[in-house]
Amino acid sequence: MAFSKIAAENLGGSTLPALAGGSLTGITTGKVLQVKSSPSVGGNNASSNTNYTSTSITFNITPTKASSKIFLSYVIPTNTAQANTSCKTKIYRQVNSGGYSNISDDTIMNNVYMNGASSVSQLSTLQYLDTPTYSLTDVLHYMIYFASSDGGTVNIYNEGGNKNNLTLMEIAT
Amino acid sequence: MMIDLEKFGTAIKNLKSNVEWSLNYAETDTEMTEAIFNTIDWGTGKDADDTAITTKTNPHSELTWTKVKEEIDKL
Repeated sequence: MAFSKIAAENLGGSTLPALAGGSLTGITTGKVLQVKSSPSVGGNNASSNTNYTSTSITFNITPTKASSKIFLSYVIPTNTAQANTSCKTKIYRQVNSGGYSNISDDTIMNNVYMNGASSVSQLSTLQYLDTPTYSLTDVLHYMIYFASSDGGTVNIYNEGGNKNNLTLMEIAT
Repeated sequence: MMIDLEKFGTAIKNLKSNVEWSLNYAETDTEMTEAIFNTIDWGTGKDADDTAITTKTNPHSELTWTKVKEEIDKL
């Protein structure tokens, strides 16, 4: 009869033995193949452009298996001193040096500020599961793009106590 | 943080409306300078994806560094 439950006490003790992640060889989907974390990337960025412009915030990963998904997460400090102006952020991707394009309209973060004359800051944060098309050895580059909602000046900071943090995970499918 | 960045944005608006600009700068850049001004990406349009089309060649003759600096100093 096949086991449906393994009691820890039957393995020689009251707790399950430690198992190294590398021993999980039978798992073919959903496995995290690699993690890349990049704190404090790029410099400061400012814009009045209502269309999405590039920033100096970019991160990359080289998939180790075919058809992987890439889970990406970022936290970036954004700011405006313009009343009711939103700093909009979006994720773009390029494969190798093929040119950046918008991943999806689902990656838009629209940070709305309702303020008077003073400067207001807010974190822009997003988690997104990307399904890129690539060949092995290709490098996937991701970049944060940003825009102003109405032409007021918006800022993305990476300085002092306002540092960004970016994480990429390759997930086996 | 560039302490006069808001003044810069206001100065641009005062000199010419609906101008779109963006720039990247270092933490050590605390004031707008001509050198930083010359790195600005000026918006000239957008593509079908709402991505800005930009140029580093300033297309606005009204917005020379001298005029912008004068306007900043008035604010």
